[in-house]
Amino acid sequence: MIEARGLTKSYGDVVAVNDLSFTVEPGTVTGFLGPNGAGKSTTMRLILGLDKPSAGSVTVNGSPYTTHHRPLTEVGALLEAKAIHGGRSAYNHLVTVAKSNHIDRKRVNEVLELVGLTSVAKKRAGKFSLGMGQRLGIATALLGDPKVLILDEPVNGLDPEGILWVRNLLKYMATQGKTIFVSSHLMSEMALTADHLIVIGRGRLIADASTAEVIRLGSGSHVRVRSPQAAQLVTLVDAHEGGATTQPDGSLSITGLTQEQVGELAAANGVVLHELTLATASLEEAFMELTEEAVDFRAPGGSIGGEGDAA
Amino acid sequence: MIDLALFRDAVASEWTKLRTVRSTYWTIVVAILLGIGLGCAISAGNAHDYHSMSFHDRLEFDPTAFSTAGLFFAQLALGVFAILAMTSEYSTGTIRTTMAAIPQRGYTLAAKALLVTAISLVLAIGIAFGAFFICQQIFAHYHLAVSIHAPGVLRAVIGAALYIGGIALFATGLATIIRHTAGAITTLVALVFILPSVSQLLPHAWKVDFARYLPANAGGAITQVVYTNNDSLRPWPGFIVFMIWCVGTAAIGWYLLRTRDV
Ligand SMILES: Nc1ncnc2c1ncn2[C@@H]1O[C@H](COP(=O)(O)OP(=O)(O)OP(=O)(O)O)[C@@H](O)[C@H]1O
Ligand SMILES: [Mg+2]
Repeated sequence: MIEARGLTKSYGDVVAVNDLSFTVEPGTVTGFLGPNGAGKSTTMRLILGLDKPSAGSVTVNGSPYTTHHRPLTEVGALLEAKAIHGGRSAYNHLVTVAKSNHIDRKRVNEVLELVGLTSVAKKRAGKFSLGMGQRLGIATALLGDPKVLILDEPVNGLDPEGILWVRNLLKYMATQGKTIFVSSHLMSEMALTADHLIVIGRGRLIADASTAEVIRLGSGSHVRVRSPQAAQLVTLVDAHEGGATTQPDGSLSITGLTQEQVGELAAANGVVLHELTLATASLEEAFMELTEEAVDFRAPGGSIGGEGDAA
Repeated sequence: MIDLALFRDAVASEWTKLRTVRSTYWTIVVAILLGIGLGCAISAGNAHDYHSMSFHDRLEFDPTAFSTAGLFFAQLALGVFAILAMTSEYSTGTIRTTMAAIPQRGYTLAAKALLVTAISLVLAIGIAFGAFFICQQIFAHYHLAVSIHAPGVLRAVIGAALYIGGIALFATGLATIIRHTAGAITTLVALVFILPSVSQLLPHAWKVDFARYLPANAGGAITQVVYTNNDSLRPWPGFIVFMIWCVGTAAIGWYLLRTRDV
């Protein structure tokens, strides 16, 4: 269990994490979502006692991380892929970590096997690909067979097979009663992996709910209509408390009315329709909707969501 | 309270780290080559020149100090060895793994400091005695050799090794404060190589007030048998001043490591 209370961290003028309070429960995979620069990595460093909070506190299994002794059997973490000395082999890297926490050397071979690096374990890690580095990072996190697992973007750089493997591993570990806290900026990936989501933007908490709930919160589904009498339809929709916006392709995006209501409205007023579809926001759209005010690095020229996004 | 079991784990982990990177081996090889090779070259040169030296220079002629002079250059290699043990963790990002594995950060610094100091010291004792006995063979050709039993000679040879041990601790402290390989090496070179040379250009009064307390000047006194130079400290007082530099720098590093973000 991880509990953050009013967690805040500033670096000079930058408030990276701003008054965050949340609880990560055991037995579930909790996704930690936010756009670039939202403060995910900073939060994880605060949890691990690597950075000191400017205010607030965070505990892991009831006590601050820095008070844990030989913490690797309690908490395992992956912060950066390829955080390894390029001249050292994967095997030796894991041995140095194992020795620091009095973990049996046998366990090193076990985790190497588990992440599929046995065949390259004795090679210098400098030549590892990003995906191999990521696997080694996961092996390091699993070394102490910890009760709490904290992973910062573990699937970054993995191939589809690797992504599937991480997903299944995390789900399996959650069924073993472990606390799994995993960050990503890919909502679609998290939707498949996480039971619960904590969404942050600009260091602030945006949502803390089940994955289904978060998707519902964020998805403003709308009705898509194409009509030669668009202007007339806009007036009608406005009169019925709906909202209509014209899309770049000339179609209308209508909110506040159901698909049926729009159809009936058009028929009753003799408006010709060429298309009438319900457009459910994708997961990524839901995520962007949630974090819209909280994006730090927006691409120039407006919405980062590209086309199809409700204005 | 000091947790000895935790310290043992930290030492075991740091020992594995040192053992499993190449830089450890090449810095040690370079230290041996510089320590013995340059010691021999400096000894041979001075022995050869003896007959043409002035009376004053002959009075200052110190076959012990010449034989261990290579260690003055070997300190660079061992300083780099000590620095890399710390800064390579920052350059590769393993520092976060290390600090998360042992949140009691002082233990990791203590383990690193103990190992690099002990390794450097043992190596320097070997180099100092090796260089001394080899170089005395060279001096013997010119009937200039001194015996290890002569007054002050054993102290100077052991002192040269102790100085190197201190430099390893000093370098560990600098590396912990600076956290960058190049920055730490530059600072070490500036403090132990450049500053002493620059200080030779200072007026006499300044040398007495300031220059003799610099780490290399204070620590170097113990390596000499013959004194004609009143600007420097006596061997053991000088060594105490040097140790204050080393322990003080390590203590500042220890404080910063415990309080700074990683
Ligand atoms: N050590 C630091 N010094 C100064 N600023 C920092 C530091 N670490 C993070 N920041 C700033 O804090 C903010 C949050 O950064 P953080 O790395 O936590 O975001 P993130 O959510 O992990 O982003 P990403 O998805 O890109 O990994 C950013 O604006 C970043 O520039
Ligand atoms: Mg990050």
